[in-house]
Amino acid sequence: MAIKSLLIINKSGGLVYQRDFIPSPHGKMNSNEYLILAGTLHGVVAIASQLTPKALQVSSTQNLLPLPSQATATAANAANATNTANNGSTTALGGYGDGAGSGSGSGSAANSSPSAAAAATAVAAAAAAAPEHTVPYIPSLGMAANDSKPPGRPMGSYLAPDYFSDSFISWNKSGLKSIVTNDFSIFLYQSLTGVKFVLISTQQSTSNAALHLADNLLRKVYCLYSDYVMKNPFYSADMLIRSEPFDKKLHALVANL
Amino acid sequence: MAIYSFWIFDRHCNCIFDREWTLKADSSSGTTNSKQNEDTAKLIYGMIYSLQSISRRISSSTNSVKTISTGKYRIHLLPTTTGIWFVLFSDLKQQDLSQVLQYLYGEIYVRYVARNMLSPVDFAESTNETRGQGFRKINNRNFIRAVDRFLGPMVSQL
Repeated sequence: MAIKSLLIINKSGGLVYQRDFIPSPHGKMNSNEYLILAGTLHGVVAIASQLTPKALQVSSTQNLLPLPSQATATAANAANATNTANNGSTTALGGYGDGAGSGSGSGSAANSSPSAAAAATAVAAAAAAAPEHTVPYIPSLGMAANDSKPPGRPMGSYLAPDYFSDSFISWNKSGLKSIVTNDFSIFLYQSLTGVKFVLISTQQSTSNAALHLADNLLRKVYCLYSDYVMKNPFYSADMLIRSEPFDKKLHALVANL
Repeated sequence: MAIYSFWIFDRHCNCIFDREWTLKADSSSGTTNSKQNEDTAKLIYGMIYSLQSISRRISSSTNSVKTISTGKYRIHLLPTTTGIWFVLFSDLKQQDLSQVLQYLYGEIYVRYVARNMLSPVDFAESTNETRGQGFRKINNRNFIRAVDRFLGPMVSQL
């Protein structure tokens, strides 16, 4: 995917950084229009988290209060089934958020082998950690090839070869994540402190893989932000970002894609 | 696979049809044309309207939003040139439901509403219903039954 533009929005909805990487064929938007864009996105994120469908509201309350008999029954089923691939559907059906304790209790009741019970509790623990919000790590995204690395410390306070090397949890659990239109798509990454990173890219795929790719890239931008914006003593919080090293590193990151 | 709700908005910013399923396990559960959903419908309309205007400003004026994803659900959108929006809420496993929306428009809406002599052409009958204050809904029994029959099997599938 080619990246058209990148925006950073502070926690009160103001635009603090904007950069175009590809000149738009439809004429450039002026800075006022970008400010409106940032404010609108900030508002839409708030609305989107208000709009939870009723089916999800009902199922979340059911997960909080599962019937004890049902919970142990599904746990026994999971303990009997050694095939962990099949367990995905049973964990999705049963209220499994707090099923770890009941799983170990029913393991002895079902008299199954200890290894199967351990596997069942492991699956339950994985389900409790909400895998739907985990973003898989995509290796060497936007990283320079080894031979072309400049001398010194190319990655700020991070150690080479990459900023992070594990899957991570998305903090944006109910708000807006992406918008796909006929011409381009917008991806949002939100930090726990309320800073939003917005990416406008030229691809129109609605797949979850594209979402994960954008989350990985924006997390790297967040790493750059924490290095070159937050550690700048001349930067006052929530104001415009004017930092040359941040610009340079961002261009290098996008150019490596 | 799960579908949460289905909405139709007309060109006067009014919601003219809504169908929301409350239980994933039961495709006959939920509400049709509910008064309680009026506020939700306004939030949905406002959100989509502002995103449409953003996308037109960034790109060309013919550009339109296809899908909107959040952390919990995904919205699929089909705008028509007559200004009617077909909006479908689904879970995140559904990547592209544009063909489903196309069928809802071409085979169900056109058949039971547009070609129906007894159904109003425009759901705002006077000028004071054209600014989002309209209350008229699609109450055609055949239309509601056809929507339920078509979308029902998709509600409960896991």
